[in-house]
Amino acid sequence: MFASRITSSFENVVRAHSGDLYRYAHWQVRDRFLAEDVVQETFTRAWRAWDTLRDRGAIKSWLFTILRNEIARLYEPKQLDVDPDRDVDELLAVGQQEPLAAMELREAVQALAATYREPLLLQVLGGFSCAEIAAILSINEAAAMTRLSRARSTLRRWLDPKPVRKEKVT
Amino acid sequence: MNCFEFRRRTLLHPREPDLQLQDHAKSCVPCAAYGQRMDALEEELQQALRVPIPDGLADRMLLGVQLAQGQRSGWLRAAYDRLCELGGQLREHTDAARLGARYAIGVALLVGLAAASLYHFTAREAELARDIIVHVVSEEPEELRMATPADVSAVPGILAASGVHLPPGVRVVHYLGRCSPPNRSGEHFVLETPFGKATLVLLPGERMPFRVTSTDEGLVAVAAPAPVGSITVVANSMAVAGMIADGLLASTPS
Repeated sequence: MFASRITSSFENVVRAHSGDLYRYAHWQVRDRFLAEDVVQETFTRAWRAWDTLRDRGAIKSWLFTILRNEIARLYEPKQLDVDPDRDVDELLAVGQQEPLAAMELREAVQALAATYREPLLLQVLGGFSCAEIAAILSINEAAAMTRLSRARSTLRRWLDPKPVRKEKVT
Repeated sequence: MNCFEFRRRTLLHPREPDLQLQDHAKSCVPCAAYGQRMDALEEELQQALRVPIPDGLADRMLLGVQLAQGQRSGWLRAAYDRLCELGGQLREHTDAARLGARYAIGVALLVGLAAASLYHFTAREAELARDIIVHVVSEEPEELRMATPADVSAVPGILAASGVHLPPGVRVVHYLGRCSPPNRSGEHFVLETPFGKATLVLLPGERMPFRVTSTDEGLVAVAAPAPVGSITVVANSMAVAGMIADGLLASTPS
């Protein structure tokens, strides 16, 4: 039996969304090679189920849902081997003007609890609305909004601590 | 809107255009300062999260889906391995491997410089490749829409006459007949490949000493010597155009 040929619509979907899926996977599995593996598995599963997809308008949400399932199924969250040289190289490669500040922010994002990091990544990298994030995470919208707020509030608190109030000298 | 609501909604969507938020910020200095800090943090966050995407990622994904379906063609497998190499996939996580990669990059740069010098002497061939891109961008859509379909039964003979063979997974979806890029005459095909659509132009009258590439209009053309004349393949990326050209010029007929 010959395998069915990839359609141009599926090809367009791969080209449109592979970058965002990769970045999300990268932040979740914390290893760029594993991230590519899991995104590959995502697209393989997506192609197998392509004919059953009814709502082509929700393709991105569908792909991210598959990706999340793949990550949960195949990999335990890994601690990324911190290589300051590699991080700086990556940041310089994308034209960061303040690589050290960006590294601090990356570490802060990695340190966020997964409960808060996931909705933040879905919003910033995926561009999803709160309702879409709630659907992907299988939670209600109010919970999604709360987690987003807490994610940013935590980051802000870590990165922009309030100055110590000076004692009034009398 | 009160300050609490302002800050709650800013945490949710720091950059969402919202007239209510803007109006409140105009009248509340602390909230305006808060909004600016959150906007700056959001900008930094977006930059920090956008890690580099590996080169050729989408191409590898498409090919990987094909391979996962059981197509174990040697050409496709070799193409996938080459794409992984081009994408910088190093499966070793040791320092030695990383150091080796840096030396390899250095060597590649030297080779690239040498190649660039050679390219200086191939301006005519590069111009040919670029002309084909312009022809594809400006003429192909109209030809697909308006042209009377050429005799597709003639396709195998035309390809064979140029010494070109379709590799596994590649088929001609449109034969547009003879085309005329500036000052030349060729046979124009639109191909469906495992990497997506590509354009093939056979130029039996254009002899070429070696392969050249050219980019324009977001497309890449690889022009290569063929057994008869030359071929030019136009695709979305250099890696894909190169691999399709390799597959067409492979010696074993499909």
